[in-house]
Amino acid sequence: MTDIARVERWGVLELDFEVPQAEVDGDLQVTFAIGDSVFVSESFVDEAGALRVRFMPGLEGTWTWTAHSDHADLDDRSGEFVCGPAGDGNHGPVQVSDDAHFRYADGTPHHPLGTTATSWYLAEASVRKATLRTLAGGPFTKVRMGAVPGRLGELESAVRDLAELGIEAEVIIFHPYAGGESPASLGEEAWRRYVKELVSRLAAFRNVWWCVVSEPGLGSTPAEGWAEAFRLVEEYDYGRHLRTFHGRSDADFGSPWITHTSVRSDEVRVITPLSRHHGKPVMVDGCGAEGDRPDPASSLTPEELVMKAWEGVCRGGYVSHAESYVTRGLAPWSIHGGELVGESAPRLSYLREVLATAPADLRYNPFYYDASTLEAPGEYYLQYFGPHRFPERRFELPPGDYHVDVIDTWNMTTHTLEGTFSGEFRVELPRQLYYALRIRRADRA
Amino acid sequence: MAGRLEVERWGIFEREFAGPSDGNPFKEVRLSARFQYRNRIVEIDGFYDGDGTYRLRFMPDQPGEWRFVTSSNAPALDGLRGEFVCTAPTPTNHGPVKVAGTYHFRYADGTRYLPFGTTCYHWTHAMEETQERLTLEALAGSAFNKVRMCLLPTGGMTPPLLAFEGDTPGQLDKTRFNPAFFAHVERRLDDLLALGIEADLILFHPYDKGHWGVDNMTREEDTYFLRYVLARLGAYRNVWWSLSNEYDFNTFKSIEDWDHLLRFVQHHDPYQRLRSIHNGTKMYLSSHLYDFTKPWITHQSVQHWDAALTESWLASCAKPVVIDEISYEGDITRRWGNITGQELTHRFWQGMAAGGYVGHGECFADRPSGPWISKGGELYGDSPERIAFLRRIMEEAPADWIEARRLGTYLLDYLGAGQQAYHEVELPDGVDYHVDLIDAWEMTVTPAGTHSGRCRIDLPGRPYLALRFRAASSL
Repeated sequence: MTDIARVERWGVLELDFEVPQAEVDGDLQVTFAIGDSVFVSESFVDEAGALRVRFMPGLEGTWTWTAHSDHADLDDRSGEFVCGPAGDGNHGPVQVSDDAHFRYADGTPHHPLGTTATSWYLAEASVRKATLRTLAGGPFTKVRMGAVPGRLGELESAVRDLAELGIEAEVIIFHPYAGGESPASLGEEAWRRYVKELVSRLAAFRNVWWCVVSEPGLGSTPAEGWAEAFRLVEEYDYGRHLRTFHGRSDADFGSPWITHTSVRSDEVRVITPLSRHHGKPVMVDGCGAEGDRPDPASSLTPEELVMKAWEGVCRGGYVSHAESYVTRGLAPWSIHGGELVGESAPRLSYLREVLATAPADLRYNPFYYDASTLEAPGEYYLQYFGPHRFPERRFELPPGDYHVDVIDTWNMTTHTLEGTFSGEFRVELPRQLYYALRIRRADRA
Repeated sequence: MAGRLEVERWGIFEREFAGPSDGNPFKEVRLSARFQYRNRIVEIDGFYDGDGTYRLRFMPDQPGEWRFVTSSNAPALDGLRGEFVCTAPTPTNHGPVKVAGTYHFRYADGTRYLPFGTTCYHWTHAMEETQERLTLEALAGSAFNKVRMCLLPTGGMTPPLLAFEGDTPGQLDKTRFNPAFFAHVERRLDDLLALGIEADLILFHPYDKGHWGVDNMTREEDTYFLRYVLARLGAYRNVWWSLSNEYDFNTFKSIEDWDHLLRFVQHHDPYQRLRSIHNGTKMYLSSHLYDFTKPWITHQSVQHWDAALTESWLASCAKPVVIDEISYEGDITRRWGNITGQELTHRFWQGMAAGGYVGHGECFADRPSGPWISKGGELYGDSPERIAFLRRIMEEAPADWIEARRLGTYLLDYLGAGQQAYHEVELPDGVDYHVDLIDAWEMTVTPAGTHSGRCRIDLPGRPYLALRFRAASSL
């Protein structure tokens, strides 16, 4: 190699060994090292049959790499590259920062607001384009999608496209509904290979999250098989991305290798006990879809879905969107992507705007037992009333002057009350559905 | 380093470091380590072993190269690095036991494990070498492959060493552990490991009655204790966690407390050892099983007098049932400790024929080595050899004998304590079955011909018999 390769921090480094896979007997792995940190990346074969190795460096400086292979031309090949500072808009992969919050690796707070479009990237080109356009203009920070064996090239393009938009890509490794062959039905040898190829190939993209399996109880693989799948993901994942599975609220999210919960529950209030039980961020990735399909989970009114999102957020959790209309001339968004026809997405944009101006690391306070409340005590309070039409609310806050905003979450209006409030005070409300109150310390910027 | 440091898979990698000994190192010095295998990180706690010695104890679960780096608030212990190679396990090492499928267990290497447990609550506490040797010999000569044993003392005991520092009732220093006590437990864990016996460690129990002050500790004291135990003993592949014996008899603790402690163990256990909690009973009146469907529970550790309920427990919770206490063979003044060997054997057969596992215990009043359930020693009862016989029968059975029954490949009909003259059974159509008459008490297996369809098998008209039907094609 003549010029030393350069890559930005959390960027994608790719080594092309220019040896066709057909000539390589067995695997190739490359060790990447800087200082005392060592990572290993396994080769994968791309659609053109080329043998490739990828890596995502998380530290700036000069890295060295060494190849290990039974193939004499490849074994002990080595090189180095320089990892420079992250470029604009690159905050690194999202990580769990404490028992309730996410941050990018550079410390920037991240408030996930997900949607599900399990097979969008397998749709025809015009629909794919429409999906990306919709996502670019929408509130969502994360898309959940199912991987399909044999279609990893398309999945990779999808991950790249989402990265361009600054959107996180949650990859469901074992997904029962993605169409094509279900990976859970592969034989043991084949599914191990599939996990290796998938993770080695995609772990270089900083926007990737792993959902190892959706609905583990429904597959034929027993529970200890899934523990094995988690272990394999950890072994191959040089990017150490977020890791969970998607399951019922009584599923076991407690093991140390699970970074956060991803719950299917039509009752988002389970966020409160789950947060307490597991000490990990709680994401309800399946509380139902806005839509009109003939089943209860896929026929929520937009009001209901928006209510669940606000309720969940004000309980310190994260609620994902889904949309599933079948009579509006389009295939359901949550499977095929395309365009959103529902009314919840704009309201979720509004919710996201509210959160964008809030302090980071707000916490749920169970003291306000009758209305879910997120707070930074003495600084900021966000209280949601949902189906309850309170005529008034009373507060007794720490010393200071506060502004009070009355938020109509459905009509997306915020009305700031005259003057400031302090000590014990009362706020009148319009006795309407879907209201929230925001209280902000007045003498802060 | 001269040679590579090698540790067999599922064995113990241990490193010792010198660090601060002033103040209270148990409380003031934090030591943890990140072990790395490929890109996977396993984080463990180290522990203070007294005299300025700190240890990391780790069980590698994959063969190959491992490396570690420590972190600590004590500079002498921070940033220490090392590596070792994990090699193939020796032939008798099958790894830790895990739940397999829904209702059964196996070792990590795939070998079947059928728990045939016994109970010796405080066999290591008196620290009498002769008695402990007796216990190990008795276990070695028995079919038992799991022992339930306590870490904390009861109110009536005066053991030479306790888990905590101090020997004055009510005045133990619960901020300091006694390394010599744990070192002794560890020797016994090694002994059990050598015999292929699992140690179902009972972490709390309600029998202190305020004497030593170990069953009414604060939540902070409980978790402080658990963290030390996890760091010290968690790497032994034969360890299981039983959060408490007769948890509901502890009036100082609520279900919410037990939930919390179970979760604490789950979150701090890098190996995810088997984890359950054992209930008390008011015999023939009530038995408050913990809600085993809670996700941090791996299997149902039941105390109950009635093995006939096994099917209902399996139906209501999709986890293995281990009836760890079903009354003991013996002759003491308490009901739970004076059933016959015949009755205990009968209950074993009942539970297992229904798809569960049953545990043994023995307590005779006047035998030289004392009551087995408390102190170990020798086994005097009639049930152990019958349990060994049952174990052989079950080892010959399919791994999931209840599923096999559904599939029609294997049926085990235990006929119980009655004396029926014959047994009528409707076998699945079109398959010939080789039938064996098993006498659970006499420990005999007698061929009873080949049968098919609806058939009648004549019996000798005495209790404790079983019929085993094996589909001819599956033999």
